[in-house]
This record gives sequence, structure tokens and C-alpha cells, in this order.
Amino acid sequence: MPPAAEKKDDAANAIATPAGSGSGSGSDGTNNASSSSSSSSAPTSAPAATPEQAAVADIRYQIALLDRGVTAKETRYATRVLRAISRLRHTLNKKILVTALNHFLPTASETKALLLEALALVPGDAEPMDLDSGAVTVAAEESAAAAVAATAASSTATPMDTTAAAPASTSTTTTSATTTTTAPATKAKKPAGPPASVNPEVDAYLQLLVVIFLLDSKVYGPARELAAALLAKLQQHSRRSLDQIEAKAYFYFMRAHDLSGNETDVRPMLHAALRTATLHRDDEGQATLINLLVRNYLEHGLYEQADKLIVKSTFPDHASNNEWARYFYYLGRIRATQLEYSEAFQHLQQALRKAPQTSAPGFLQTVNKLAVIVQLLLGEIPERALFRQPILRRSLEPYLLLSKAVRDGNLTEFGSVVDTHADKFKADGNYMLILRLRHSVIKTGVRMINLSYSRISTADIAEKLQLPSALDAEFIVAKAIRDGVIEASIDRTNGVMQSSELLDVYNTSEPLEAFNQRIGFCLNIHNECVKALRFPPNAHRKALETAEERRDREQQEKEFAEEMAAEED
Amino acid sequence: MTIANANALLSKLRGEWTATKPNHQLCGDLLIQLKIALTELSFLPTAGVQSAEELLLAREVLEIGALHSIAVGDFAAFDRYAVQLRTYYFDYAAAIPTSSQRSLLLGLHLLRLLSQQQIGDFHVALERLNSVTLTSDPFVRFPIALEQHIMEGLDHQVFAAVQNVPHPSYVPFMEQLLQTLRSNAESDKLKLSVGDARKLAAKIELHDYSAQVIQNALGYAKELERIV
Repeated sequence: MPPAAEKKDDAANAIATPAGSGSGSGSDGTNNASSSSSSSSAPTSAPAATPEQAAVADIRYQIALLDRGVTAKETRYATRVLRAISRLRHTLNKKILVTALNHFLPTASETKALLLEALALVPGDAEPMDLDSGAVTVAAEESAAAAVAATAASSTATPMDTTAAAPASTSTTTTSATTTTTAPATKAKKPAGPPASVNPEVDAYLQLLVVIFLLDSKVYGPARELAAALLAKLQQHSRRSLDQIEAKAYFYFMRAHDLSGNETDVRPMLHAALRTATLHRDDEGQATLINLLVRNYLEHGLYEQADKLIVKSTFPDHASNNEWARYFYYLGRIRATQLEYSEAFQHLQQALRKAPQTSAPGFLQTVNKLAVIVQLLLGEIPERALFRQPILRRSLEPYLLLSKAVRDGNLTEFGSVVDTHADKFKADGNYMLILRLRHSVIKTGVRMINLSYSRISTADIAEKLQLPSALDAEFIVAKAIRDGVIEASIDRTNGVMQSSELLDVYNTSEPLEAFNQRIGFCLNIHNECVKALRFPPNAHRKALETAEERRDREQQEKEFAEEMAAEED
Repeated sequence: MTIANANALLSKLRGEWTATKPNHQLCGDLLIQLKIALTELSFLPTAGVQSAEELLLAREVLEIGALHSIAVGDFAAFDRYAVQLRTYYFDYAAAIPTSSQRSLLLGLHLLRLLSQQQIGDFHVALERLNSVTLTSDPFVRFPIALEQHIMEGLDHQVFAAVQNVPHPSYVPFMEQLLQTLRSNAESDKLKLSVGDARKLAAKIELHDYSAQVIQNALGYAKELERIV
């Protein structure tokens, strides 16, 4: 069987046959599932299928993964499914979703009615597709045949406990009907039709897809309602396998909440949810909720509360990279506001490293904008190459002009850049930080004068920096000396600034610190990599020899030794 | 105590406070009585809806209290009043009309933070204000301009600003601020003038330096051990 068809078969089976072949001799369901899934990524569409059919098949595959995750009690599968959402959401349309709902949710399901009703708000073709055509049918028929065979083979069929074991997931690609011990005695039915019942995970996943689709279709109000309904439903269950979906549901709920311009206070609800997530040790939930709360605080200018929340809560180590990236960004913003620029810059760099590098251009732009300002506030000039990157070039243009003004120490130019782009800076929420840059501009100006002149009168400095008086210049230079920006002294009687000899930086501990920082960074990466390695249980057994093999080997060695002895004689 | 009693007390306080020569002792006593009275009303807001009347009452008490605390020089009390007032100025902005004293007290709070050299908190407090207040309100603009002067090192302009404070209540905090600036300047001079101190500092630095080199080397050895 060609690989593509095999994958399709696999996915189809998982949905279509309520209970596949269970544990045979030597291979249990969990192992099978993980081995087959690790070899296959998301299914590519069969060549004959239209993009829409492919999308439905994709959803079907994701549902199969979710079911597998429930059976295997592994969170990895749900992670994969949720990660695939960002890819899937670009292909979604009304037709696909209606088809998916009709096929993957039970006919009598309340969710189905609710979701179809919500989808009716979006204009578009709502005619469900006919799935029984082309490649899909072939797969479906094969799985149907397999299901029938499985039923026939199991004479001692026992109905499975649906709540405990959550069937419909352990099907394998081979469907070895002859080794079956459990069978779909109660629920064998037409494979292409809707199932009689689904896991709450699947139900929630489909509702989440509809919420995202509504968001993408700019139907914000109903999207918020639907997400709220989803959250209410999820809170009734107490299943740890739902945690990740719940975290995503909160995320999209808040997204819809923000976009719909709803003014109601959601913070008490988020705090309650955070408490629950913490008690459940639900890492993803905690991470998402902390970020949502911090974001909400920052949106309303409540930096103090945001800071307190961060200090009093621990961000879970095992949170996904995306949540870490967001967290570092918020942390960077708070620290920058509190004037702790070097810490802020560190956090922002971490945010950039953790963020997805190819997708999420908006996030990269926002973080880079803030990072540029913080770097300028630190007295450093950002690298020119940063502003040349294709995804950053346009949106960072005002910031490039700003950096140029600071680098030249030109107050007039700085003022005009701030005035022309004030609206943009305000929209980015960086305006207040940019106003603080004024004294960085002056500092750079003073430093450049100090570098070029060994002796200069304060009146000339005032003229060069466009300051109102020589007295102002004197105070500014004094402050620069105090802050360690320049090495110079002021001769007050003559009104001149006298530059000191330049310090040789290689005589200080500066190089040592720089090297130490870099070495530390490399070692840290290595340690993180080692920690991130995964070892599947019992994988090392394959490498170990069995008793029989050992006997053979010992036998051979013995013979070899005897031969050697014989030769020596 | 009912709201009517509290209102009666407040009008008494208001009468005393707005008099040409307010009796600070009497105002203080009235404030204590009022604060006790407020605890029985919706003074410390929790969940639920508060009546606008009670909120207005509490806000006015706090405003007079804040100004009174400056007049008698009890700055710690001012900090408490200022923090409590923030709830009424921001969280209840939609529920009650804006107070005429709002910008004065916000500006005072900013100046207080500045005089205590809590620059981080100062900027955090600024984030809460909208851009219109920041650019056009004279009470708020004053501390912002001072902060810019301090950051740029234009201390003489700060000293000059004492002459044109926007409100007499600003004076005590301005004096505090100048005091801080003076002591900063003195400590700087001290640092520069004493050559011996410099030598001592260099010695300590050298000691730290070699200790750090040893510590780094040990750290690398440990990490390398782990890798190999």
C-alpha cells in the first residue's frame, strides 16, 4: 500500500471503526499508535481530492490524534493537534466546517446544533460536501470492510466500557482482524456516517475550530458567546486530557472578547480559572491564563498589578515556547517601564528567541520595536541589519529614523521624528518610553563631543547640542560625568570641559565578562537540549539481547576460544 | 452610622477646611470620625454595586484628608490617601463624575514619588494616565517636566521651578526633592574628592576580580565534566 493511502486509511479507520483491533500478542494499542504516528506527519491530501476534501480529511486526522491521546493518556497528541490549528485555520471555510460537523459529531448532539446555528451567521456556501467520492470513499470502504471482519472474527465479543477505555482510537493500519480480542460489538455501523458518541475532546475541538473560524470571519460577538459556552461546558468535565484545549479556548475567548469591544470585566473569571489551573497543575492553562491576565492589565495601564501578579505567581517551566515568548515580552515591557532596561532587554531577547521564527510576523515586529527602544535607552545602537529584514523593514521604519537621530545625538532631528510619527508610536504603546529617549540623545551628543575634542568650552557645547544656555550644558556634562558616560572634568573658572585619557578597555574585566556571558549562554543551550531529549519507555529493550541471543553468543565465543586454543597447540 | 450622619460630618469638615485659617487639629479629629463612619458604608470596595452617593462622599473625605496630611506634614498618611484615591479616580471613573481635585492630587502623588526617588513607580503611575492629561494638565505636567530635568541633569532648573509651583501644596514635596538632589550632589563630590577612597575601591575591585576568575573557571570545569 502506498504511504499516502496508508495514512488516509489510518485516519479513516480511527474515526470509522468505533473499536479497532486491540491488544494482540506482543503489541499493545499504545505502542502501535505511537509508532505509526511518529512515522507519519499530518496527512497530505490524496491527489484526487479537492482542497476542501483534503481539509476535511485533515480534521478527521486531527480527531483521530485526539482520540489516541485520550487512550494513551499522552498530552503530546493534543499538543500536536493544537499546533496544527494555525495551519488548518487558513484552509477553513463554511462548507468544510459544516461537512465536518455533519460527519464527526453525533446526529443528536447539542453542540452540533449550536455550532451549525453559529455558522449560519457567516455568509457562504453551507451545502455539505459529499464525502463518498474519490479517494475518501476508497479509504472508508476499506475501513468498513475491516470493521466487518473484526466483528466477524470476534466470537467472544465484550462491549467495551466507553468512559473508561475511550475506544475508537487503537486501530492500526494493518487492522489485523485475526488477532482481535475486543470488538465493536455494540457500535458497529456505517463508517461514513456520524458516530453515535464522541469524546468530549473531539466535541470541544470542533467547537474551538468554529470559534476560530468566526473570529477569522470577523463575527466577533457570536464568537465570544460561543467561546464562553465552550468554557462553561469544559468546566463541567474533570478530564486532564481537556486541559490543553481549555487553555486554547481561554486564549480565543479573550481574543474574541478584545475584538468584540466588550467592556465587561473578565479579570475575576480569569483569576478563578488560573486558581483552578494551578490546583490541577495544568501547565498550559496556567501559562495561558497568566499571559492573558498580564495582557489585560497592561492594556488598561495597570503595570503595578501586572508586576504583582508576575511576582506572586510562578510561570510553569513546561509551558509551550509560544507562551514563554509572550510572557517574556510582557515582562520586558513591565521592566522597561520600571526603568530596568538591561533586564528588560534580556527578556525581550529571550522572547525573540522563543518566538516562532517564520510565522507570527506581528509578534516579531512588536517585540523588535520595543527591543529597539530599550536598546537605545541602554545607550546602545541597534544593528542596522535588523531594519533590513523583510518582515520588519516597513513597520520598523519610524524606529530606524529614531535610532539614527539618537546615534547622531541630534536633538532637532529627534524632535521632528517623534512629532511626525507620534501617532504610530502611541498606537504601539511606546510613546512614553520614546519621550524618555531625549536624554539618551543628549548623552550621545555629549559623548561624541568628548571623543572629538580634548578641550571645549561649555558655550560651544550648548551651541552644538542646541541647548538654551552654557549653564545648561555645564549641568548636562556634569551629569554625564557622574553617570560614567564620559571620562572628563569640568574647569568651572574657564568654563571648559577637559577630556581625560581614553581608557583601554582590554585592561579592564570587560572582556572577561563578555566571554563569560557567551560561554554561559552556550552551556545553557547544551543543558536545555539534554533536558529536552525524550526517551520512549522500553525503547532500550530492543538494543538489549535476549537470553537466546546471549546463549548463542556465548556458544560462539566458547567455540572461538577453543579454536584458538587448538591452533596454539 | 448612616450616610446622613456621615454627610453631616463631612459638611462640618468641609466648612472647617475651606475656612481662611483651618483648625488642623479639629480637621484631623473630624477625619478620624469620618473614616470610622466610612467603614460601615461602601468605603473599601469589594464585589457588588456601590451607590454613587457613598462613593462621592468617600472620595471627598479622602481628598480633604490627603491635602490635610500635607498641611500637617504627615507624608506617610498622604501616601495612603493617594493610593486609596486611585481606586476612585480610575476604577470608578465611569460610575461617578470626575472630581475637580483629581489632577491636583494625581500631580501631588507623582511629585511625592519623584521626591522619594521612586522613579520606576513614577513611570508606572504615568502609564495609567491618558495622553490628554499628560500633555495639557498643568498639575501633572509640572512633575513630568521636573523628572525630565533631573534625568538630563539640569538641577538648576529644578531649583528654579520652586518659584512657580502650580499649587501651594506642592511646596513641601518640592523641598524634599531639593533636599534629595543636594545630598546626591554632595555624595558625588565626596566620592570624587577623596583619592584614598579611590585606591581602596581599586583594591577591593582587584580582589573581586580574581575571585570571579576562579569562580568562572570552576563553573566551566563543572559544566565540561557534565558534557564529557
